[in-house]
Amino acid sequence: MATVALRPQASVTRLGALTASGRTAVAASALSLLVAWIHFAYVASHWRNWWAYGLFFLLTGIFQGAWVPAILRWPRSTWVALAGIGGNFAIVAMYVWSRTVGIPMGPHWGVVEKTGAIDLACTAAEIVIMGLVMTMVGPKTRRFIVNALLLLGVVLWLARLTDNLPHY
Amino acid sequence: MHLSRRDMLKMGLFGSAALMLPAERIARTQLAIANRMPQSQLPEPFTTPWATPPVLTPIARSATTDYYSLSQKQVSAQILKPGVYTDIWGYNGITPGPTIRNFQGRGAVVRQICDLPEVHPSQRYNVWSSTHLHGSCSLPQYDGYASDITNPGQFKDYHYPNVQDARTLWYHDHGVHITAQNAYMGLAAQYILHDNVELNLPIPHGDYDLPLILKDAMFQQDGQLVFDNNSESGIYGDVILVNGRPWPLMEVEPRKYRFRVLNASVSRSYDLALSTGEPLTIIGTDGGLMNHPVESPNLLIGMAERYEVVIDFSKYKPGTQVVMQNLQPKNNIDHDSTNVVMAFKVGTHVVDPRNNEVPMDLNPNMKVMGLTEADAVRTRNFRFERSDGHWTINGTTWEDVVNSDYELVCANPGYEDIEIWELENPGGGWFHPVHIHLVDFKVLDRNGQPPREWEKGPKDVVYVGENEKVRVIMKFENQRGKYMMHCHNLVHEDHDMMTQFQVGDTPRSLDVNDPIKGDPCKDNDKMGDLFKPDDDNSGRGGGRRDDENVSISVPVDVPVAGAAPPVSPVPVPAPAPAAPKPAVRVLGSKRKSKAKVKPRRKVKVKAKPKAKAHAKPKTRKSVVKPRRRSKH
Repeated sequence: MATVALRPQASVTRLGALTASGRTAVAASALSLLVAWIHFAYVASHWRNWWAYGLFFLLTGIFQGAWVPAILRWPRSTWVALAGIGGNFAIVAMYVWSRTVGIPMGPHWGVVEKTGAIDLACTAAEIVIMGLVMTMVGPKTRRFIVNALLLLGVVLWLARLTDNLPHY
Repeated sequence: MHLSRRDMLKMGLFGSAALMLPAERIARTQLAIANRMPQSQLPEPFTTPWATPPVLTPIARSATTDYYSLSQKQVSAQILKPGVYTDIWGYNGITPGPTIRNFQGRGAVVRQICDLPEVHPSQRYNVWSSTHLHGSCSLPQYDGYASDITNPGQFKDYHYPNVQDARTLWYHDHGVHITAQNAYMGLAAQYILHDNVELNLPIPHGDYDLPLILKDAMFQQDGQLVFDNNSESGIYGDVILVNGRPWPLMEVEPRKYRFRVLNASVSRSYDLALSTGEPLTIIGTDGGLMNHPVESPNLLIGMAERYEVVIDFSKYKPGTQVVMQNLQPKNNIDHDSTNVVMAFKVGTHVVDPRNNEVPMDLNPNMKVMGLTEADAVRTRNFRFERSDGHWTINGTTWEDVVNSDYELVCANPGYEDIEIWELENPGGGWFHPVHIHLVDFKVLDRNGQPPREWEKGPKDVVYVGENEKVRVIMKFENQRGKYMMHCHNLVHEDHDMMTQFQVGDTPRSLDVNDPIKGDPCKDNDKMGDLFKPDDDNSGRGGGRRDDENVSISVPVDVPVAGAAPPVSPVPVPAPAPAAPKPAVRVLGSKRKSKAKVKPRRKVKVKAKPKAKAHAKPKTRKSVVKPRRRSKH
């Protein structure tokens, strides 16, 4: 009983001792593990459809899982942070593309996938990861990335509002 | 370090787009369901007059073949009530489409022109079609193979041999992955084949031999169709349409009528019964007339099943209203309004008293019904089940067929082999009407018990209920090649409860009747005349060149059309006198017809339109399909 009670306490103590970037890294890591687990869970069902879909999910899960020890080990590394932003951005972009334009490869090329609660939650987590990791890069880099995302957001909304998304 | 408020707002714009655009799709479906037309605004049952689809007139007729042309198009139709319009897709712009009536032994060529919009108006999927003549032993390339698609702006000439016994067939969409939506939009119609045996029987003909096409649908308040596949279990409506009319009222004479009941619903089965408690007399099944009529107080009919039912209204006093009820079989989503189908109001006098009987002996042809277990050379087992989020047959899906480049088959019976297939539904909560293309089969038993009374005729769809195992026996004849087997809950089919079998063992590279490459669709700008008099050579004409190496296969013992003229007022095209024997070759034989034919040349396989027909032509931007719930 005593052991069980002490463990969280110790964990909290360690967290409390972490720097701001360390705390951010821990939060981003937890989310990254979660989304990696979700991707792993869907490897088999996607593999059935086409091996490359399964491989995509497998690689995505591996990336998101492997990024966790890297960011915990080097929380101040700009390159690790950029990898986290870039990787998750690519995954989110693929998701949006598959739900609006259609799957960009394979036997279902062009098929617009159905949106589900789990995949929306997963994408939200990936965007939060990007936001968290954004605080770990330098101001110049951050400004560049944020402005690029702003531009992309504007383009997407403009396309939607002017009815220029192919399947909307 | 932290993100400034401005940075968060900027990121929020991207984040909101990434989440809201996909979420909007869900919201749209939910909104449509929430916006469903309430019961109080639906038409009162039995207030809409009965109607039947028109009979399609051939655009040309040769000595042996009738030529038809149909255009699949979107129109705005008034279905529910005046002033409320629904966008539908119909053959020639009507749903159900026009009925085609033909005579055994007369070939038919049906040109299907895809004039549908490129993108579905509300579901936003890329559109294609494939037309299956359900119940016909067509060659593989004319069987409506799911992946043999025709895109908007293209057409395909389908050749039908019409060599089978008289029966109720139907033509409907079979486009891979979007069959449910396409059929729900209205792409379905009857195709009736007559023969001398049937026309010489004193059963109701002509004005007393009528299609009764069942379909359910759900409407929004603005009249548009609601699409909800209930997590890929099925599309269920709250309005029962009969020949496209909601719960119609039919005025009948006090005599016998013969109804060709077709369940054209996407997912709903019906258990039909008369409100008077009188039994229904069933005289025919999917594959034509039964040997003997059977009487039953009810008739369970799954999707795509056809039954010929005789109702004798002479039993009722004039003015009586007889309601055809739906006893609402399990594993459907029912509504208050789905327990009735239509009503009949009995009149006072009979205009034509002829052909007003149901003889005890209907069909002396014992072809499939004469098969016994001892005739079978092997037995195969097929499990239809939900597995890992997919509808599967023996654990495989149509995806597996596509991924194998259409090589994967679930069975490979030899030509003219007789086999028993065990069709098993081990799951609870759903039923599967299983359709085996090409063949007629006889139901041997269901869970070891004799088949239901009304199933004792030739069938091509069988209702496999939950936890049921149904055994059927069939002979693989008439054609060789690849044919599909699938669940006729079209949502299940689209989500891949479909496979294929191959009759014979011709390798794909040598198969001139390959279902995709055998005779692919063409662009509309290459559309020539469907019929040229000098092209006519026994059913092979119609947009084909003589030198194309594909032929209609007609067994040599097919009765020649015109041997006996129709004896009833059925609007069957009069068989041409002294029709010459079809100048065709029997598939698989080297025998050539005596007719003058130009030298053949090898079929040119066009790579473009449908190499990966399942995916999509490169010329257009992308395919479609609301598919599996999954992440990317």
